[in-house]
Amino acid sequence: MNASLLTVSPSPHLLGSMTMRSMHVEIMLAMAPAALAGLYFFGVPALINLVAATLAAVVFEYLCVKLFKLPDRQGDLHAVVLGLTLGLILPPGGPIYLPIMGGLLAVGLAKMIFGGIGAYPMNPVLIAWAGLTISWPEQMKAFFLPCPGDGKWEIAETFLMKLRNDPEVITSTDLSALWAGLTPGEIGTTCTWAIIAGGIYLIVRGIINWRVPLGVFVGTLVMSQIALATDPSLMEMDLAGSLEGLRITWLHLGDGGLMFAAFFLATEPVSSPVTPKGTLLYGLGIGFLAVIIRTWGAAPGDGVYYAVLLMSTATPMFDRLRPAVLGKAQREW
Amino acid sequence: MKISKCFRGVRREAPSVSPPTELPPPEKALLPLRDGAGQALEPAAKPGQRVLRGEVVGVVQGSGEPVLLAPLSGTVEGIGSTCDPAGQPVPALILGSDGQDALATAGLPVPLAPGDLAQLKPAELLARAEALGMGLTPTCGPKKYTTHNGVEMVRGIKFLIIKAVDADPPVNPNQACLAGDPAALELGVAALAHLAGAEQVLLALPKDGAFPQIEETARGHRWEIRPVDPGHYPYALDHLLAHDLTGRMVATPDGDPRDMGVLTVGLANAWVLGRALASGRPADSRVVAVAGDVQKPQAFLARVGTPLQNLIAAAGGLVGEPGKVLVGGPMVGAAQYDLEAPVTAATPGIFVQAKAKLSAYREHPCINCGRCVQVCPVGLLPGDLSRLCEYGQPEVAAERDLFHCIECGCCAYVCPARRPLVQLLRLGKSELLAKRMAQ
Repeated sequence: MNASLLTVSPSPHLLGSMTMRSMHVEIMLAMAPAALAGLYFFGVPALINLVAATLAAVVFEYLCVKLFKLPDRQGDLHAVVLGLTLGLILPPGGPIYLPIMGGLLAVGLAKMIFGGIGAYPMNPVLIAWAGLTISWPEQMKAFFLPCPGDGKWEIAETFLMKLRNDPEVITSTDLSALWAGLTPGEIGTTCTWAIIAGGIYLIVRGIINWRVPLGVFVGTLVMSQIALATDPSLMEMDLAGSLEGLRITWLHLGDGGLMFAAFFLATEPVSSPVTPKGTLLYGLGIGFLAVIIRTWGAAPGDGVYYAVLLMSTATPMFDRLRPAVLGKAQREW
Repeated sequence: MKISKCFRGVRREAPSVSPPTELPPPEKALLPLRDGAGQALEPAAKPGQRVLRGEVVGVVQGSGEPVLLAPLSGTVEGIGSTCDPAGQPVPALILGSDGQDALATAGLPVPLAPGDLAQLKPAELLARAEALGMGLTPTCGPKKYTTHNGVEMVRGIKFLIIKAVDADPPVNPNQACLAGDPAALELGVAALAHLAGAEQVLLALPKDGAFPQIEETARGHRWEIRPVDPGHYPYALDHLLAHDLTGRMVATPDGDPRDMGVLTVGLANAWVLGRALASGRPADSRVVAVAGDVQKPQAFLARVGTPLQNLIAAAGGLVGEPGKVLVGGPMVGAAQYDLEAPVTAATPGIFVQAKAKLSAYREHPCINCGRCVQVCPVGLLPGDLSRLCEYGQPEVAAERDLFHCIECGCCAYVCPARRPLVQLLRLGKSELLAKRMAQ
């Protein structure tokens, strides 16, 4: 037995099973229900968008690695996750250059220029989305009505767009259909239940922090009720404080990208905080800002994405809220 | 239980419980000339001298306290060298067995009947345990404090926690003792409670096992049973367990649960003490679990001084090509290079890893995912601290509580980027300490 040499190293001698690659595979698995729902509702145009965005991100990452002679980390599948996530928040009816330009913006501009994975300050997917929304605002509104009988895609407005002009949708919307995804919207963000299923999987696996989505929901609830009680056009509905008034919260949570942002965009590891208090406040901030921008903002596109972008700039501040340390005296003399 | 605790620490498989098997004494025993606290010992027997089991062969340098007893009968072959678990060389007394295992006739106390326990004073009990070679004073004896005006005082012990769970599963000496002889267990725990003067005895038992005999005994003595998850690493470490069961927070890094009136003792040690007191034979065996890639993972009752390779051979030998042999468990164990190294009083067990199962770290940037923060049992930000230590700023890390890290290794275990987090934290600590010493 002594003839063979033994390996010596510091502890720990065991590592968990999770690697970057497996973590990204699990994130893709968690996005699969939302993606499948999107494909079911929006058919071939959605498929083209998803594939184009994913391919674009992978190809641009390859080009960046080759051109700039960067360390090759393509094996961790991060580019695939970026591309797929971007595809899920694009409108199904946009032209083909949207996902391709999006892949370039996400990988080239927002990820690689800052130094690759681990170094960028804001979610690359949202930078790409913001770039596309500002550059092609009309094309980014090409939302289809889901599941047409005759195969003809019809462009329609989302409920959030209607809410700006006509607060009556709060009472007239069929909320169960909205949460099930029978509404115009981005490819992967319409079916709220599918997104929640994927998000719960990620929380159970310890990949995302449960405090972020919780914060987003609480923030949305509080701010949407405040909006109901203070905004002149919403005040006309006279719903503030009533049980009916909760419908506006369900509408905010169910329509647009809020649920998707809460589980998949706000929790993006690199740009989100890590401390317990910090993550909760970060989530709350996103919830507040999302409703504020949706209700009173003039920017094109869904306010929740701007909210995530804005809050991730404050991540270093949230990371200063360190938790209490076990074994450290509360007061030092 | 708080929700955040569900995400803290890591889940390890809790191994099955089987009683420890007694190993025959080795042919040659190596006895490191250093006690548990790191004090140097000097041999009390000359090379060539014949000694009996239980005779004093080593005393503390200076004070001359007899602390090292011969674990077998035979001849002192001389003074050689071995390595401690951390790999540092230590002088060691080499004792060759004569195969008779003859017991010393003088110097050992008489067997103790359970009923006589109350008649002994705690100090007498402590002296009796010392005479049996069970060095309890540094870990379980009264801890002295000096007040600011120079008066020595001793803090009373309110809780005695007997751990039947293990700090680093699957190396499970404590859990294996649950299946051991109940009379010795009872005497051992009662003796510890008596010598510590504990007001309350808490038995931390694995939560989903049934131990009718122990529960019966506990009812008789009014000991409290507290179920603990045996696979939730690192919550069986002394001060984390003390915090969970009593709510008393032990200061890190240099605190001791006794500072807060809590004494934690492993069930394996209680059992060894109980056996020795009841039989009047020296307490020169320890419960040592062998786990990992061996044919038959199990716990043994091995004499102190037994070479590690005897344990591996008794467990049926290695499976696959040898990779690492660890003293302790897979999370905090120390890798060995010399299998001649002996079992000491502090060896909980060994963990064997085949070459194919060794894990590797990588140079990957931190992605700030926060999994290390979610699992850290003391509430640090290991990712942040590791970056500070890596880039030569341990002072900043120390301001962010670097020294409260207990080095449990959960952060490195869960890191998806496979960064050597706890290793970087250790590096930062040692660099800063070296810097402070130089100033």
